[in-house]
Amino acid sequence: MGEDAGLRQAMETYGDMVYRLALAQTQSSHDADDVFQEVFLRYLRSAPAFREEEHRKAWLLRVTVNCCKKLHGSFWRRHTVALSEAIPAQNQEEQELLSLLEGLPQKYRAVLHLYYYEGYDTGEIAVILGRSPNTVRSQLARGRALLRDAWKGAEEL
Amino acid sequence: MTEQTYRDLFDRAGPSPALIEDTLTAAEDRPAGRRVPARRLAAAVLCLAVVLGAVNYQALAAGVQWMVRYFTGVGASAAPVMVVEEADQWTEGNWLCHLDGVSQGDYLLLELYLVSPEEEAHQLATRKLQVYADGVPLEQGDQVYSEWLPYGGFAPQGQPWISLAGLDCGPEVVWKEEGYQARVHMPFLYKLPEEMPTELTYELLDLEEGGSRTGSLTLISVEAQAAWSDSRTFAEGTVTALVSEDGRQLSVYAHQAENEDGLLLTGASLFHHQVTFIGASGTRYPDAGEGFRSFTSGHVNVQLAAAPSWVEEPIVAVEIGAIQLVYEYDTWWDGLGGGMVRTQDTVTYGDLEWVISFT
Repeated sequence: MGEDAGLRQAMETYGDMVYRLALAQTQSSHDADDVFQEVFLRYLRSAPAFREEEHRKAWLLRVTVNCCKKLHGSFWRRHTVALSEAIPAQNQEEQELLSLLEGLPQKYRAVLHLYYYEGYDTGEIAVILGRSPNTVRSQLARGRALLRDAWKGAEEL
Repeated sequence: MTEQTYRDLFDRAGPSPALIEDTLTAAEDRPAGRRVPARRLAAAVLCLAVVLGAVNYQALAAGVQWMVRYFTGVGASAAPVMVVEEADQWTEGNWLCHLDGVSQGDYLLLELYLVSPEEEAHQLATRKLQVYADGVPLEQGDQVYSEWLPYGGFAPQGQPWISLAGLDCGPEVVWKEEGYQARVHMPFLYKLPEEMPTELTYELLDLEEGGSRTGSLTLISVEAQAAWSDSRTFAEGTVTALVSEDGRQLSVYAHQAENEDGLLLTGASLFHHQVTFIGASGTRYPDAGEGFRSFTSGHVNVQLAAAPSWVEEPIVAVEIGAIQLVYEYDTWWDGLGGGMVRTQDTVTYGDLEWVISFT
């Protein structure tokens, strides 16, 4: 398979996954576009030979998080766009969740997304992100508590 | 409620067809792989070591602390700072090449990194970088040049490869995670024309192996607010530290003034492991290692350290343990064509215990 055909196939298979994680982490469609492109160009440029498909997926997730971190670290290049502009809410519940996510600190976003959306357990997330399982468990617990508390608070209003 | 709603939301997000096509186009547009074989050079590196007399610098360090309401420019004094909006990246065979830059006042510093998946020990890399504004070539800066030549007279002047294993801050961290093992760093300095350009083009020449690459870079203004400032005076001159209002970002700059010995302080560098952010609980947090511009050219000196993003408690103080100063002076050269030559050198001050407290 040629390089470009391989790239197209990788984007077809994993494009949604990479884009959604980038959007969850950056909360900006502009930044998610940049990260998406950077991730797949890196994939073409420097991805190792994967023995298993699961390894390819994990590599893409990790590079996505690294690209988001790099974008975030570069504070003078950061965009600020509300997540609700990228995914308009279709009902009140979604609107409330979007508001909560927009207030969620960046460090909890990738862990929550990989857990809620991609269905990984904390051990798998630790391997993907290169963090300790304890750190991931603590970030997940803290992130969920923040969402739960804020959700509860909003319901009580 | 939350988990299902979360999944419903993100089910509707995805890359647009245009983004996929743009990515494929960008992949096609990348330059054809051009392997630049590493060449063994019997490197004779000339080191000009200047040993300063022992100075009781702590006695000389006269700290004056005050609060600044508003300060524009990251690490700048009066000179505006601009950065390259998006670093240029390409590959040469297995090497990843990364060109980024920053300008301060009249000077533009471009930094080229070559990153290799193999250990390129004992090799030197050479390049010449010509930069144009409106088609007019920019003048070369002083002290740092626009070329790293295979030979300058009788000695090779290329830049050495360094293992990534020992580097733990800056862009190297990500490259290391991606499996790269070594990198070369080549700084290039230019004088900017009076009418500050924002669009630049460049031609990068490989003087040993032949071949060139052209590209363009866009400069954008940056602005940051600093709320706290503190200065220290050393034998070579004065350095000011600036801290953001929340205490989470630190920058330093050198006051570019000549002292009575004719020595001109031109830059100050922070060390990653010598910057500590202190929380309200007294916990000490190391610098996050991102956002650093640790190279000091003599005319462009943009430094930035930041507290780790995971720190939740308020930061109440910052401590600088060590600092490196870059300075210029005239010295007598006895060799062929001898005479007075302008020389650049550095001095490092440790055990500073320079604490900037916001309370």
